[in-house]
Amino acid sequence: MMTLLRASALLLLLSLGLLPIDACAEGFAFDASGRITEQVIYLDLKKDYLLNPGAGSASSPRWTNRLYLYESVTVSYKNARFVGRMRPTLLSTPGGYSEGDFLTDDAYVEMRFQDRYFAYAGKRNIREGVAYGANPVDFLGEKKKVDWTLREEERRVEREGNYLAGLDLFFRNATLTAIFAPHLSGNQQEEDRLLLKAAFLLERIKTDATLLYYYGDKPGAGLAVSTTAGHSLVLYTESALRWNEGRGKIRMISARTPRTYALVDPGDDSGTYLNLVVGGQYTFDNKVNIIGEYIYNGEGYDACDWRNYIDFVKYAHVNREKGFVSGLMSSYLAQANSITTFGQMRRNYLFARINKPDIGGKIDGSLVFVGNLDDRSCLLSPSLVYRLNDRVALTASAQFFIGNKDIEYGMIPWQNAVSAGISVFF
Amino acid sequence: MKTMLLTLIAVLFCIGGAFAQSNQGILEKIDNIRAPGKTFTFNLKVTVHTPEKEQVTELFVRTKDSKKSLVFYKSPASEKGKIMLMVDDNMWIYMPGNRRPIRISPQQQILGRVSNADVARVVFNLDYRVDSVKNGRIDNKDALSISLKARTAGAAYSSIDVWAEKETYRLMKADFFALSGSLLKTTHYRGYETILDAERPTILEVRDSMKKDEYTVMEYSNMKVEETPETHFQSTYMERLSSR
Repeated sequence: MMTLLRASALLLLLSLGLLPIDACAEGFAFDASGRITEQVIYLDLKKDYLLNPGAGSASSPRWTNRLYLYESVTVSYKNARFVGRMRPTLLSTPGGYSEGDFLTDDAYVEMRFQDRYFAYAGKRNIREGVAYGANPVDFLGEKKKVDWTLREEERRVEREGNYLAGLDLFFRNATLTAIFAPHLSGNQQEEDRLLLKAAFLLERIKTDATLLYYYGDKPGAGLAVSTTAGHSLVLYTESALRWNEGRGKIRMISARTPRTYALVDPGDDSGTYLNLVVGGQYTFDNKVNIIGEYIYNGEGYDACDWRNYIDFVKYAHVNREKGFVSGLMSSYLAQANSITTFGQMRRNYLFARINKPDIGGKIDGSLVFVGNLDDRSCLLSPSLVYRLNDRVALTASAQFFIGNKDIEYGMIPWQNAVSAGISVFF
Repeated sequence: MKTMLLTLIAVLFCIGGAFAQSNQGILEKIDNIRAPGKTFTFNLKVTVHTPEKEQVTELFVRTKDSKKSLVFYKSPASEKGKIMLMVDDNMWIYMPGNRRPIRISPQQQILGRVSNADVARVVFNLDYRVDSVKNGRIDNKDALSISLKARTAGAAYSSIDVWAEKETYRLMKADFFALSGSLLKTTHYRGYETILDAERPTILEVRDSMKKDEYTVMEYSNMKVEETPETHFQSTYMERLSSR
């Protein structure tokens, strides 16, 4: 019944989205735009991987069809406006399974005072940071689920927002922001969070600087800076200092068979750590744009922590395959899955992207590389966008995860992922 | 003798300064024909012609104090909602799908051979200084050939050779050069119409020096003197402008 209701809501929104709406009356304005995307995703699932079936992530089908609408609606009346960005999604697989979902990235009301003070409340996806490969200062979005089948630049954009209330104050070349995201049982599990932000433009030295203070489950302070150097180069850095809590670590409590492991509560391992990105982007005369970033993830495992983690996973995997105390081993694997966040497990990463727009006048091509410098595993992701005309684009992208099965990118449940789709803009 | 020498040097400085001022004055007269003031708005239609296709992009531009510009993308549908902000040499792009303004470099071109600066900046004198002025003829008319050099490394072009009618200072043609000295493109200024009490060019035809079969046409319309609030010219404000 719920699926039927969600499918009906999707169809209704699809119909609404197709209307060429751009209305305006006295003090009233309505604007709707977006795109409908039909996408086929193929996951080259591994038969044998360490975080194995039965422990969570292996139930993914090989083929998935995703039909979704990205609809952006803004309704303004005098000093108030409503902003909605929704993604009704219909997933289906060849086996006949289908699932509808109605994802809301934004649904908030904002009041404007004197064109320079804004107060807002509702659900909002706020994205902080200046880097591309990782955003250490994106405090409010750091626990959001990452969809690896999306193109790299879409992963932190198309995500559900937080329930929050905020205030933005604009001054000449400066903006002050205060945001409060409360704990809402059933809807927002995180504890109460507060984000304070001051953004400045240092006009003469062509530099933006943003200072952030975050209070929440992992308190921290951040700084993001970007500057233009000459005609073709943009340099940037963003960093966050976090205190009190880091990533949970695996420790062996007893070596007696069956071994006993425990996840050390990060709260007991109090201290501070730094997350940092330093990078730049350069554009050549022929429009080719390259981005290079070094990412330091202070929360990531060092060699010793990683060895403990991977020994734990291997021990659980091998013994579960053998059928030895499989209940305990399954619980170990479930625990391992719960602390595994690919792309953030280790400390040193390299991110690079090369983009060539306008190939033959119609194609935009990109190649993304993310390398784990600690274990040499990596992700390669080419993508192409072919503009059929002003309203229709064809997309194709792939992800190749390279590395042995006991290093980070080699641990991902599928070896490769390929997707192709068509988007219609309105 | 010493006094005479000092006087001579002072006079030479004054004459040199006057010449420099006069040359810069010529550039300002040329700029005044293209821009009706320091604060105004206009619509811009950019058509990129290639052998394979014709791509049309419609923009709405707000400028303030000559050095601040906001460029709103109105069409095509896939670009709608995108905004570019330029404050001096600082540039940002806001794409609704990206959810944050991104600092970009002047080199990041957007439409065919048209650069960000070509769209956002209507005048030359903010980014370029006059290097020399010569008399010449172009299209059977007496013209001034003005050589411009970039004031900063952030300028879109290293140098520009501008041709303007000698009597009216109406722009006729401009050659844009890279740092290497190679010609990047040539722009012809056409379609002069009376707009806000002056004859102004409404059509710019941009020809690529490398790709001879490609050209871009920029058509200006609906030019108005209109104020835009100061706060709008901030990267942090861009998200709020996207739907207006």
